[in-house]
Amino acid sequence: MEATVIDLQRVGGEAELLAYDLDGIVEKAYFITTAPVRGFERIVKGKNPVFAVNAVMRICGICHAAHGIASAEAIEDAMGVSPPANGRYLRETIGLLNKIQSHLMHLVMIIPDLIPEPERMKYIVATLNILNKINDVLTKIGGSPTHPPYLVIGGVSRVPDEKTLVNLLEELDKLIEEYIVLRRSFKTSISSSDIYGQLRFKKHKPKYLASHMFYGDKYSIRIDKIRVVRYEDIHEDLPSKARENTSMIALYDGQIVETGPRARLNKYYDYSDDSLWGLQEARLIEIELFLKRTRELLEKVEVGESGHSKVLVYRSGKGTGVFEAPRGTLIHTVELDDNGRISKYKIIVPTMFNIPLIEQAAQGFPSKHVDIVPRIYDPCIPCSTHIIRLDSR
Amino acid sequence: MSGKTSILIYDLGGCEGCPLSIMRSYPRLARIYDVHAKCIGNADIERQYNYAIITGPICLNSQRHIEELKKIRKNSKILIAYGSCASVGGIILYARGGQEPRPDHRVYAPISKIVRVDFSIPGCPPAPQMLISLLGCIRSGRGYFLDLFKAVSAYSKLSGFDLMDEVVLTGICVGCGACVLSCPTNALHMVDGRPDLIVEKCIRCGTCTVRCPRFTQILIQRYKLRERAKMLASLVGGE
Amino acid sequence: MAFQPATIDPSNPLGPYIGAYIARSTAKNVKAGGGGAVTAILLYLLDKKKIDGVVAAKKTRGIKGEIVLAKTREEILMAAGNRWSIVPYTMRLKETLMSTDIRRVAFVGLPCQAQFLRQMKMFPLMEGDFADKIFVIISLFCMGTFAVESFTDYLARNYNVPLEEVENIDIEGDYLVIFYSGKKLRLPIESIIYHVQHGCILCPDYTGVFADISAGRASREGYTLILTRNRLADSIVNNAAYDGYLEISEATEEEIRYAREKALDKLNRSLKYIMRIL
Ligand code: SF4
Ligand code: SF4
Ligand code: SF4
Repeated sequence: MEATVIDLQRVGGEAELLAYDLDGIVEKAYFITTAPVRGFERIVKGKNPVFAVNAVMRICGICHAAHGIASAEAIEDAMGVSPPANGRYLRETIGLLNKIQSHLMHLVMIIPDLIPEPERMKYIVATLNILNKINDVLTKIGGSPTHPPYLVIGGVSRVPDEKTLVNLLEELDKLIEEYIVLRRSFKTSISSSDIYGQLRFKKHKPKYLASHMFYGDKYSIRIDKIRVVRYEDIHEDLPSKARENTSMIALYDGQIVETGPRARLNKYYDYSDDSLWGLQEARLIEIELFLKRTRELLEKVEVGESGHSKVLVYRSGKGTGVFEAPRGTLIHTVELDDNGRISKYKIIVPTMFNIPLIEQAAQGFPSKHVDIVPRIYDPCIPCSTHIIRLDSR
Repeated sequence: MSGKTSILIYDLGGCEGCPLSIMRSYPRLARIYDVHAKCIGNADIERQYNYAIITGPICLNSQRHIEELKKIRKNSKILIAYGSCASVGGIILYARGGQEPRPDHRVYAPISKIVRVDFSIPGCPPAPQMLISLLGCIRSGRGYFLDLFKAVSAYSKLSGFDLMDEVVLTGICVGCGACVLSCPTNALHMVDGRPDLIVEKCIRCGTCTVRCPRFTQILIQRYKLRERAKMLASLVGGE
Repeated sequence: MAFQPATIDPSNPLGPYIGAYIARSTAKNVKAGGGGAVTAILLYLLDKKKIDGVVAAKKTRGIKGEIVLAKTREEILMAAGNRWSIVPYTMRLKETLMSTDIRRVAFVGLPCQAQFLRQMKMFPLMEGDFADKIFVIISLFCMGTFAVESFTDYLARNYNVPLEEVENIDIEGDYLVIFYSGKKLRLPIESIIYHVQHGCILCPDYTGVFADISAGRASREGYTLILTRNRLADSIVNNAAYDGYLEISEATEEEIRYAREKALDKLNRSLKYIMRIL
């Protein structure tokens, strides 16, 4: 067996794949994250909860809003406050737009594998066009396309006015059409691609973890069943190269599970496709669903009504926030001390669940193109490298 | 690619928000430059570049990243610290290490702590058009605020706290409101015609400081004094 | 095109410009004085649909003001310049600009605000910046602004001039002239220097070197000196004149020298002061 280290590009963050080859087929693979650990759970310790929401959004520039929402949910749970109806609608909207952003950016990164020049650039430009329009929508609702500042404890700090809402609804209608056209032509363009064939051919059927189709529901999963372990703990005989790994692994009920778009659709939408391509297909379906759901939510927003609870309660307490991030179930838990400051903070991110699956799926894949396997799983390294060991007691 | 100016966009462990914001203007950027980045799949730190755009902070406890950074410095003519983390440390200055699985990653700093930086651009993250505009100015050798971004590279932190200490509390604030409109977390608000900092919202991005007409003046003048002092020191044989 | 570096060069205190004019509004309803010509330019831009609105400081009481987005002729006439106190940009302004279907706006402000706007336009450091909405930046000449409460209290206490009644302020030689309820109060500038904001004493910029158009008092009574700093600005001023909004003529050497001296005064004052606080 011959070992090669592949520097993974076109994935969210810094990572390598250590692959062992036997006659052109991957025999065993290790997914090694190399980004340094910034330690956000430690950063927010001792701080005011308001700081935590703004800080944890900066864990990741891809799924910023997902962290912001999970964090706000956890803190609200601990404080005993809850957002008004407008706040819930707008918050979900921000979360959905964030998922769309992430899926589109991922599409940009995966296009070069599937579409050759000169068509390639055309698709990248078209996708970025839609992404930029989504960003404009998010700017109007969240205040900024990255790290949206209107996301606060107790809801969303600003509610758009009547005129803006009307414009946004029109904009969304156009976006939905534009996206459907893009998806259709994208799918015809890739049908002859080699890699597409390989992805279709490779089947892998994992167990799924999802808590909600659009938002996140902490009562639909058992958080006490999640165990977070070190990378070494799931691998015997770890090669020394793989010991540099900077992320943790999460197991559900002692098992490896897949979380993310396919898990959500599988659980809430009657979707099943066990091929690796099924993951990407799920993303393409989700974008449309999310756009339509966003439209629905914006129609419910009551102009003139407040979007947040306008109260912060500084007291001791514990709270959990679960949100479906672009890549799957994201969990924040918080403990506040007697002054209402943060004494403990823990984050479990979806990529921690998915890393072992990436390694399993790479086995048996043609070595030449194996870098597509992690890419199709869309791991998010900035997130997964900022995580503390969760005691399973 | 033929004759185009080459640029490298490289992240050292930030949140990826900065490179992704750059990527959103990729079609425009690619028309003018030969762009190399991980998001495109052609990043190679072994080759030479005209410009290197570094995002994310440097972890002072990670040899791997420090070596990469030094290599990029050596291989590029002009090095730009892009975004708050790379330029002034940003949120990551709060890091204190001790976290699984690498409790050894303890101290983070702006990249100017390790290598010489030509321009430092705060912003969390800067808007997509920023880079095109900046590179255009650098290439033509002149531009309104290049001195300012050069001056920022001499600082290892800049934030709303400094704005309060150096401008507002010292009474030289004129109350123009530029800082309030420049804060990505709305951490500054006007109270009786003067800005005040909501400390729990400040993520130390430094944007407010480089947008304040008074603070920019101070930054540039101090930088000039510093450069002069350095020159004098080198004349008398010191380092 | 000449570029202004971040610091102002004492050999060129007015900053780079390509055109210098002495101007006056032609319309009867536009008040003469500091802002007359600027108002005429704004009306021209609005009538020709080059802009959707104007962001400017509107006088509320005396020298107090608020920032408004003026979208009609009437609103623009109401908002015509306040340059004796600084009216802060606020989050409300940003929200107004973000949420409506305003696409292009002319900004009228003081030199420090012009610097901020130029910086935003050239180097958008924030994704929430409204850089693409800035159509033209107009700066009013500024010798410094008053600390509002301090100054109005001084006038009320020592001269019985109530805040509400202050209509206009002007400089005549070494005197500051305050127009109120049809009367005039002349005060030596030295006597009121304590009410000028400290930050303004530190400010090196008289004309607004980062603006597209700078405008302020000319030495000739009732006229405005206009500096245009790029081709867009120059064509705006010339077209406004061509279309009869504005009456312009090339500024004389003397007029430029007059502004230059004032600018140099302010720059020197600033350099002296900044050495103390570095
Ligand atoms: S006050 Fe705002 S702009 Fe200034 S450093 Fe803090 S977060 Fe950044
Ligand atoms: S930008 Fe500077 S001068 Fe203007 S209000 Fe803020 S602190 Fe004061
Ligand atoms: S003197 Fe300078 S700081 Fe003061 S108002 Fe005028 S331009 Fe602004």
